Amino acid sequence: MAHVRRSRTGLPPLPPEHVRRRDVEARLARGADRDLVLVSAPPGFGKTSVLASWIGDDDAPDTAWVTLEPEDRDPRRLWSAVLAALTALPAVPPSHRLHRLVVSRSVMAPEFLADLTEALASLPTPVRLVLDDVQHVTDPLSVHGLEVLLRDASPGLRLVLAGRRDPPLPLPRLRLDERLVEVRAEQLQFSPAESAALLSACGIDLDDAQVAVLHERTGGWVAGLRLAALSLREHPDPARFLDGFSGDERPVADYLVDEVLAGLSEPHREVLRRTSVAARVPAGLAARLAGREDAAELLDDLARDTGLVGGSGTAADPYHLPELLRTHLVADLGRRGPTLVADREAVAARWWSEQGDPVRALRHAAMAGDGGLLADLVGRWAPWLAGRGEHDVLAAAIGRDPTDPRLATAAIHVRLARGEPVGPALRAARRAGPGVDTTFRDATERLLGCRVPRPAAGHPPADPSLAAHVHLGRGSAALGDDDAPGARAELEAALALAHRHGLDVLVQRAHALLAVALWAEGDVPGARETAGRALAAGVSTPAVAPWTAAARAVEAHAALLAGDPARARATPGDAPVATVRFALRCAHGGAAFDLGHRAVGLLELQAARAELGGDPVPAALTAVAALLEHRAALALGHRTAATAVAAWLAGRCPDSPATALVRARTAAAAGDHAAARAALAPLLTRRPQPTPDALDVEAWLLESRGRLAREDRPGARTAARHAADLAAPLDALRPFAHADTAVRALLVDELAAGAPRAGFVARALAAGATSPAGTGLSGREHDVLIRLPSLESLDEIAGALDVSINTVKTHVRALYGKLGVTTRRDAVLVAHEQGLLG
Amino acid sequence: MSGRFEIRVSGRLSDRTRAAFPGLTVEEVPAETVLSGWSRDADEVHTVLDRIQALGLELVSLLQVPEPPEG
Repeated sequence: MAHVRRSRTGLPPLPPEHVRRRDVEARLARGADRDLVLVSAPPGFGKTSVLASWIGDDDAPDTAWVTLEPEDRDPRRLWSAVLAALTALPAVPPSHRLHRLVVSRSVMAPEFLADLTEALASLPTPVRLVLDDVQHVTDPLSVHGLEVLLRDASPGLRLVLAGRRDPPLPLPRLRLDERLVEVRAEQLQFSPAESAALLSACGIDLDDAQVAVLHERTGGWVAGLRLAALSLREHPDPARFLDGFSGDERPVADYLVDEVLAGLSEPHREVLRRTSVAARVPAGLAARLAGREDAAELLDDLARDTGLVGGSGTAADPYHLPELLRTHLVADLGRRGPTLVADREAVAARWWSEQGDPVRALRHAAMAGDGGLLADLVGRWAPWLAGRGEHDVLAAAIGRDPTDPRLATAAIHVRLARGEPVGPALRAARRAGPGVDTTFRDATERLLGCRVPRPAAGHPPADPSLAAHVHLGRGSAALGDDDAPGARAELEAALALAHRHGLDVLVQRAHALLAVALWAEGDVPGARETAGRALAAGVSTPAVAPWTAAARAVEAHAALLAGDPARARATPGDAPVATVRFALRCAHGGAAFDLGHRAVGLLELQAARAELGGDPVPAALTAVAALLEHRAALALGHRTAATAVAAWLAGRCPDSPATALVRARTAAAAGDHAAARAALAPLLTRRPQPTPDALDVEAWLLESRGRLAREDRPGARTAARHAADLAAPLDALRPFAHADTAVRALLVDELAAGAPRAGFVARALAAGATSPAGTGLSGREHDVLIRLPSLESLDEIAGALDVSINTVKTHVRALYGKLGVTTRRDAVLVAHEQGLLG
Repeated sequence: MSGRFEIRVSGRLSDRTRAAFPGLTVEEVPAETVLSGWSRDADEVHTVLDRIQALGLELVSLLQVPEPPEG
């Protein structure tokens, strides 16, 4: 998508016999400082030439020209071309923010338009943007983009739109505000003098009366005048031609096309007819369409001798005909045999597929109306197109409610990208008969969490796009089977392929699912970063997609563990999959609890579990959910509720570390430290394992509390330090927020400047901050407070602050009073909890 | 909008140009040609209008008759 052909974004060349339209150019010049210049007229009125002539004169350095094509109904393609044309302008400084804008390859983000508008409005000198053939702008987002540019980009931007129809913009309003200059067919019609000038420039020697006949009959329509000139150039008897023309009842174009074609040899006519189904024809396609090797030579003849054909037949400069002539030729082909047009379309479709251009291939296949060919091509290219985000191309090829299983599989991807239900397409895709390759469908079903009876293992297919889908599907299936390491391997393979081949849609999905795998394996920071990539702006996909919701759930739980419940609470909770919905509700419940809405939090956690019913969820999520709910139930003193969730956990994950921790918590809450110690023992003797709930961290904090109860202060300190060391790489602050106050007080000693854990412990103690702005301290009191965690004596603090020891003591007393504490250690702890330090 | 439509273009169409409108009825009246047919939605009529423009024909009038309600 990023590549924009040069010929689309330059000033188009003027025809050799160009007649300068001074009147029209003067009218255009009057619009030079208006926001919009609109040139609106049917084909063949010389819109492009008059604009190119006007602009080519002096203003080219600040004019970006984009010639639109039918493919520009895709907003990504349109705005990529616009951006390429604008950034190529000398008037845009190299450092300007316009150069930093990027159009996403997968999804057109509405923010891009706002960014573009702002960037244009901030240009040091105004620029002009010409969109020629603006009738190809049909996408609502692109139309809206034009409105926004028109409304907000002035004075940095002046817009020039040329097209066959009026664009859907508020023209009456612009007219009223005098922000608009219009040039229409009546202005574009050649005057008799201009008609004479054109004919003379074409080397046609006619008398005034003859020119008048031509002018009258064509109505000053320049395409008609040119066709007439073409016929007259070689005509043996111009007078007879003019008699025939003026006496004929056919429309001007009809008559003139007949005349032009009559002047050609049959082989030339035949090549033109057979190649007419494509607007742009590289030499290789011309040979295939015409069914003869010398097709390019014949087209070169026409280009040289008649000027009818443009281009040189290379890939960058394919042959092309005036659109008017081409349309007539297609009609002529259709007249000669009912299947001729469809056959040529099918030939073009196959040729473009061979060239690796499925977008053009599918458009021709759709025109061919050959269902089998269309299904073959969709089957071949859907993995690539879906991976690249070319869903509109797929949708146009598929049509409504397809029954062919290959089309139906592609339809699933279109619907996924648009956030629509996939049910009917899925059912149609499953009706594949024998002999149909189901690789893509299987991968798609696995991605959706469906059970596929066929084995998932085996060599991935050779086609990299399909292979990326296959790995993604297997990764998704492995997550469903609670095999996080297996999922990670598949998803990393999918990610590598998707990156290498520009399959941005799959990159996003792989990131989202990889985040889940990493989270389940306990790599919470890695999961958080990966989820962030999946959710980053510019790769937005419908928020309802299951993987997007899963990435949000990972972010929410990571935020909760990192002591940021507000962020977890703010995550949207909707998800199309029961497991993900459960995960999100648990994060919400835990966040509510952490934010101080304890009863609400417990109720939400209980409700989440009730809604889940008997559905299976991965073990890691089961443990996280149970530990959150158990914590809330214990804190609120609801023994029955605590017992219920403990039983649920034991039923789902018997003999798991989480079960042991729940037993230890229950015993500790009841004051039975011996039982707590026994329950903890297996957790403390094994090698610690990172888990998304930082279970080991909590186990060591509980151990620290137990040792304090046994008055083993050095042991308690070691255990607390161990907890901090386990927690730091995971950024697991939450267990410290909920740790026993005595353990938290013990950790205050770790805050001394230069102590190895000071940074992390400071954050861990602040994570439970309850009243961030509750205590008002004077500036001097704050100066003293921030020195309290150090090992300095009050004498030393007085020296550092250059005040007397008595002053410091006064400040310390005031501080203790405000914090409601009696010791230096408690002052530091409370200060941390209230967010006064850190 | 579904229903019958009738489009008039000026001049008498050649066989070639008539062939560009398969599925439509083409009738000649003095100095004009009438193309008529049925459309399921506005897009279909637009497709015909685009083709008329692309062929360089001059549109004289467009008449659309909405489908009478069933019953």
